[in-house]
Amino acid sequence: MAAGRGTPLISVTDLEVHFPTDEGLVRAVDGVSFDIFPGRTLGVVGESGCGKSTVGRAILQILDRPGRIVNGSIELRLDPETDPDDAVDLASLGPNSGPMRAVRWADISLIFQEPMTSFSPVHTIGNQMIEAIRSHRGYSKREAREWAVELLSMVGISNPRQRIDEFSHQLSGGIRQRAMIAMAISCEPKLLIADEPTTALDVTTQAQILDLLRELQESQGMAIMLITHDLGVIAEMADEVLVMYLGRGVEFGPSDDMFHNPKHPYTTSLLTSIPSIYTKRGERMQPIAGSIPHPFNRPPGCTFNPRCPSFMPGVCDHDPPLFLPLEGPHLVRCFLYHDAQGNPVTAEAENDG
Amino acid sequence: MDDSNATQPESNDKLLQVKGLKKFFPIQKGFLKRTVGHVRAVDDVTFDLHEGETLGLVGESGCGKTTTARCVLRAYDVTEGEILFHTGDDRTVDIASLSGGELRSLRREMQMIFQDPFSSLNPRMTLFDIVGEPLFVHGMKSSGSRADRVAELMRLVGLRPEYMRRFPHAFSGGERQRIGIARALALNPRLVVADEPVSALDVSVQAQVINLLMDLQEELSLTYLFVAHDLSVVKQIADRVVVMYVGKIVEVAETEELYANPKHPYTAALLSAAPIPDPRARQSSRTVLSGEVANPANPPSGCYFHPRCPFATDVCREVTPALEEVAPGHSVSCHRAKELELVGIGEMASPQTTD
Repeated sequence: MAAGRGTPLISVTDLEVHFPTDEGLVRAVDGVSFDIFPGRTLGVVGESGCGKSTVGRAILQILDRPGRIVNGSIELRLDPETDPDDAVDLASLGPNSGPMRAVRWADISLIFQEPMTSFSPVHTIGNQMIEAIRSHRGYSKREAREWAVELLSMVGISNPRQRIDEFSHQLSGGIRQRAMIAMAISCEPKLLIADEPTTALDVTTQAQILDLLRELQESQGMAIMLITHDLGVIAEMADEVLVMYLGRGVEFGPSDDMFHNPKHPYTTSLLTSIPSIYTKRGERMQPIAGSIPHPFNRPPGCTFNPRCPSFMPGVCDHDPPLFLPLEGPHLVRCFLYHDAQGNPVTAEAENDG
Repeated sequence: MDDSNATQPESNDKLLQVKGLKKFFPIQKGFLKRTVGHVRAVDDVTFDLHEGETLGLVGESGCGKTTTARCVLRAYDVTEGEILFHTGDDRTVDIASLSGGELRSLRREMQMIFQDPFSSLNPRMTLFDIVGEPLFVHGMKSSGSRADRVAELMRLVGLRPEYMRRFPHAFSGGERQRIGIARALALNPRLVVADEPVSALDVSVQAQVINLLMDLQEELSLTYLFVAHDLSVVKQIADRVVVMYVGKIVEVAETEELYANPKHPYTAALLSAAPIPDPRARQSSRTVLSGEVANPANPPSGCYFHPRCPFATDVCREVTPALEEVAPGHSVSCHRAKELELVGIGEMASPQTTD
């Protein structure tokens, strides 16, 4: 799966995360593969319930109970440039093991969707940052505080020496998200997982935060995994895109291909169902028929088949399709391109794409 | 029902005229609940709504768009101002000063669609009860005729009437929003206030609901007051757009005109900040506003937008601009509206160009 962008920082292969509950087994992530390259942005896009947040949490092994990784590997290469063979499989580490704890925050950190709830309300912003910095780096209290102040000014918070002693409720949504980002980059991680970082924000604040993430990526050289449902944000930020539907990756490829040469019917339908500011008044979008099935009631075969415009009876509702390369780094999971054994389908179906 | 034979809508018929609307919420402090200030949620807002059109009301959170919509329905009492509504029997009444009984009978002409389809439906009521309740309240006491009407409404919004006896939990978000729409349409309203009707839905379902709203408008000649923060949805559905900032209207224009030719720096910044779903349209020269939305309890002097405005001058810091018409149907409240050359979406990197 290694593409022409050097060695990936992280390679996720056939990841499966299950939540065994009393009512049944929820296959939150049911076969996802992708690579994240150093210094680049992977956009993970999908609708609610597609498992996009669970993938992010699985990488850090901070799944809510009773979720656990049942299959697949998450290979982290700490030094992909010089030592591409030195990889740790995070999926094989215990969630509470020492090596896993060392990876969290220091190598991979996370920004949550809701800046309101991701800070403790009873500790100051500064104390929370200092705690995180000191537990991963051997800084003294004073050094950690100086570094926290520097981080706050790095993310564009004015007056950081005063703001560091404030509580999260004293900050506005945008500033709180900036503080969250400051905390997330405090140990200079190689990968920043941003789970819907701008969904709770207004559009002008969203533009500020996206700009900030881009600037930090340039100056720190970190990779970003941006999880969102907003195709506009993906188009603006991502180098590579993974499209997920009901726990499965359905398409993975370079961002430009995904928007201008999409292969999977779900990706195509998603793109024609959203309006943009270029849409004409009264213009009708082509909605995707039906709605997302309940997790306990997944359709057999390809999970998208009941809503798919290219549904092929007897094929799509039988065996699940495989996630296979199409051309170069572009992967797709659809019977239009590969049969159930993984052999490419030729000629007539190709024209449909 | 009795409004269905209303007179043919004339092109310039004003269904609703909002004049100088103000809504202040008191800030109370201490044991005695003394009022120490006011949140000026809606501060002198004036606009018209013509019969059969869709007026988009956009702005960021806290700009007063929802409060304005709720005042129009008198869900909130109004601090000051007039809301003139042209009723089906050809009278003009001021909603802001109506009393209980009159208001209740007027409510059948104006209904609301809510944002969150999960909390706006009572989980203990069946669809029949939910959609039939407005009918019952407004005099349709026979359950047989109510069932007929509910079935008709459910077909209208694309739900199967057989599901009438089910509870809301059995439905997905998009279907629940359809239930909310059926309830709003039960009494054949003329004005429908839709407060962010699609923002809680999945993207693939949003288009279904928007298309349904557009179809219903055509079929039932409805007038929509459409509150939203998403500029692309508003572009698709609205005939005219009102842009609000900290309780005031900053710009009103026809949709195409507003997007192509914004006159207020705030509108231009909103358009520039809206992400476009096309990686080839990444804007290198995007204007990103600095700072945060002003606090409506303690707004800045002069033009409320001046602390974030890249074009602010001394007069902006001191004098509050009035809403003035700069072109037919295009009003702006900005001191420098005539001299500024702002870019709309037409001149931004269009989806064809590569960077």
